[in-house]
Amino acid sequence: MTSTQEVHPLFNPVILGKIFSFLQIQSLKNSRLTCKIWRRAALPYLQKCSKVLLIRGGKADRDQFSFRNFLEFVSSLPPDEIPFQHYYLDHWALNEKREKSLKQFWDICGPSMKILHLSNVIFYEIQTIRNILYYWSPHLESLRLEDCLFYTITNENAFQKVKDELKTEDFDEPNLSYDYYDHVTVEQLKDVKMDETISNANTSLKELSYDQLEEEEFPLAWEEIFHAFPNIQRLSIGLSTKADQTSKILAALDSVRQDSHVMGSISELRFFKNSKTSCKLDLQDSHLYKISDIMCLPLTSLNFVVNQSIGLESVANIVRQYSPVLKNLCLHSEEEGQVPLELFNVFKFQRFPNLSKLCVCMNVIGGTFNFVTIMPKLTTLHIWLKEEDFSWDTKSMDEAILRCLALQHSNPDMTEMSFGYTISASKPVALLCSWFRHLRVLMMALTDEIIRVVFRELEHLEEITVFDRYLTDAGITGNPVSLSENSPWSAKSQREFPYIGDLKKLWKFSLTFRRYENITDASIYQGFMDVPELSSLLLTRTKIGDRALRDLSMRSTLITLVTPTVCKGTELEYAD
Amino acid sequence: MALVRVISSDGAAFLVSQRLAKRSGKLKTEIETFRKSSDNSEAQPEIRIVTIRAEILRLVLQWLQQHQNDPVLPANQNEQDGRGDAEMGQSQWDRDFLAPMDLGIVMELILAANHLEVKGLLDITCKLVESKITGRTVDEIRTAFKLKSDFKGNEEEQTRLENRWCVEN
Repeated sequence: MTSTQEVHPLFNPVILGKIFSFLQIQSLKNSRLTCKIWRRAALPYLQKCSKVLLIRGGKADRDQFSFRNFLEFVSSLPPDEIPFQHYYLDHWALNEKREKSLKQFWDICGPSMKILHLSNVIFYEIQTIRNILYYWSPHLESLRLEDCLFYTITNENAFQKVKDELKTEDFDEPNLSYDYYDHVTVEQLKDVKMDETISNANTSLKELSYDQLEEEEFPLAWEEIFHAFPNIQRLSIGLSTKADQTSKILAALDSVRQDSHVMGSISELRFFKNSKTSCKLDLQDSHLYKISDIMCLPLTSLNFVVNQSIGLESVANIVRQYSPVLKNLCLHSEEEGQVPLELFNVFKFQRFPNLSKLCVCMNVIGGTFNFVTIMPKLTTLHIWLKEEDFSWDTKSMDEAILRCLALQHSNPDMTEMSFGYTISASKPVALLCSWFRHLRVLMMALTDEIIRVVFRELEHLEEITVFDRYLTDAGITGNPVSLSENSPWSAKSQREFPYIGDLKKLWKFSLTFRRYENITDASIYQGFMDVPELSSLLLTRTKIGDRALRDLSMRSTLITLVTPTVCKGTELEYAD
Repeated sequence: MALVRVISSDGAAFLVSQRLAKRSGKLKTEIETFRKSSDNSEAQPEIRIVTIRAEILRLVLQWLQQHQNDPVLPANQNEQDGRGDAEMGQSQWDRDFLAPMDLGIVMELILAANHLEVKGLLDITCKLVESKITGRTVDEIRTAFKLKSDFKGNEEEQTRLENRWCVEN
């Protein structure tokens, strides 16, 4: 046997860490409940995939997201054993003068806080803003301010009952505190003078995100923010933020860079669209020119959504300027209907020698796939209507690809492709396959005809995700018609087409978003059973029976199988 | 062909090629240390692994032999996002290799893979353990791994309360 000095693997922190890195949230929670060592070892992994959500006001303050209940709970823990790092605070009033529990909350949770998302929060008074942003959570690594308001109280004319309660300084009764805020006169905080003494307040902060949906302004000088957080690497600005606010941020960035040696680290600039709003996007040409003017910004990642007020020239200008160093470019249009930007058509001689990831919509690439030739190191290509949200568009990419029929291109580095548009014929897919023969990950709408091209051409594929609903047994099994488990067929008889068993490296196959009515047991018995390395199968609603799924899962304990009916893993969300 | 003798804790010696042995981070270091300290460049290194018995060492070497042409994965690959890459390294051979093993052997194999720094083997064995946790209740996990609850007082309830506040990102 192994030496008795050796810790049992189930209690060895390195090995436990390895095991827990594969687990999802519910399994991590269950693991923490088994014994003390697992409780401790699983915690960092639970922290990574979860957050504490606290909502104040109305019903929310009495249920599972209650601030009062949470505070009561963390107050009972030893100060150095707070197990939470990531907080999402929604609809809070931050008034340290009146709400004593706020300081108590930050005293307990602030030292271990790493990620803080403040959404729809009202700050009262300058000092509270500075305390919360700079001082009360000194190890914060990521801060997001989303649609926050900033006031000073000019008159506390609360009615008598509330005034009486004020004396007790108990403002955490849910209704009381909100009654109180109904009876105070406030004034918006604006253009607060920069505090010159604030420098390096938090050197841990790597990520700052600011998103303002309303007219109200951020009151602190952005120069002060950049001095307080000198090591920001990723700066994200919501696109609904008013134009003059964005101008202020960029001007401050420029000023700080000229003025001092701080702010040498912003490598990722992102203008993002908040999914909670349909507000008009307020990014302007002048902003893009301003970014170009900021001295030696070490950008390697640019990400923004263009709207109708943005001209091709300004986009081309900034993209051209950073083209030699960009590693990641993500560019989408506000609306697909607007005039195509066709950005890459203006770069006849421009190359992107280091670009590895490109995420764009069809409007940006224009009517041709020629752009692939100016990006020789591309490893990831996503052509989607929007950056993150799945939104299907039936617009076809066929023509844009077929325009490059004569293109002799080869990029062995390309490993991942994902399309949110349709390709309706096999010829354009065959052309893509000929350019990117070493593709490992593919996400797109696949019909039977198209998936056969994929099976034939892309032998290195490891992961396939299928969108839309047209794939059937015939595509997966390589047989001409849908078959059942009992159909007369044997492995020795010749298949008419390539089939999924031809992909020797495929380990993950997923169907998404739709029902697939014509995928049955035949796909399991005459398709997936033959995929030698299959270890993850994620299905939406299909006609595959439980028995076939069980037979597949019996093939190996290493297969993770997730379907609406059989779950050997975590239940997958699916849409009808 | 340069060879190395690898000796298990219970005294069994395995003669393997140095090329194969060097796919283990630990054996590679040992061979290089031996080379530096030895005057005779032709001498055959002998490495004692005092924590791994013969049956387990044989399994590790068998796995290394099967995967001798795989690219060597850096030890910290994919650790940035906290996810391992075991799934990508699995093959039918791996499944057949692990299938007959009981949990005790798997545990020893995990320890051995960790000790000998064989990342690919560590990945697939840990993934096997993961598959025995996913989808199971707390009691089922305890039973599967023979874990005994050592919570005292209200510690279990306290953990349940901590978990309760964690919602998915």
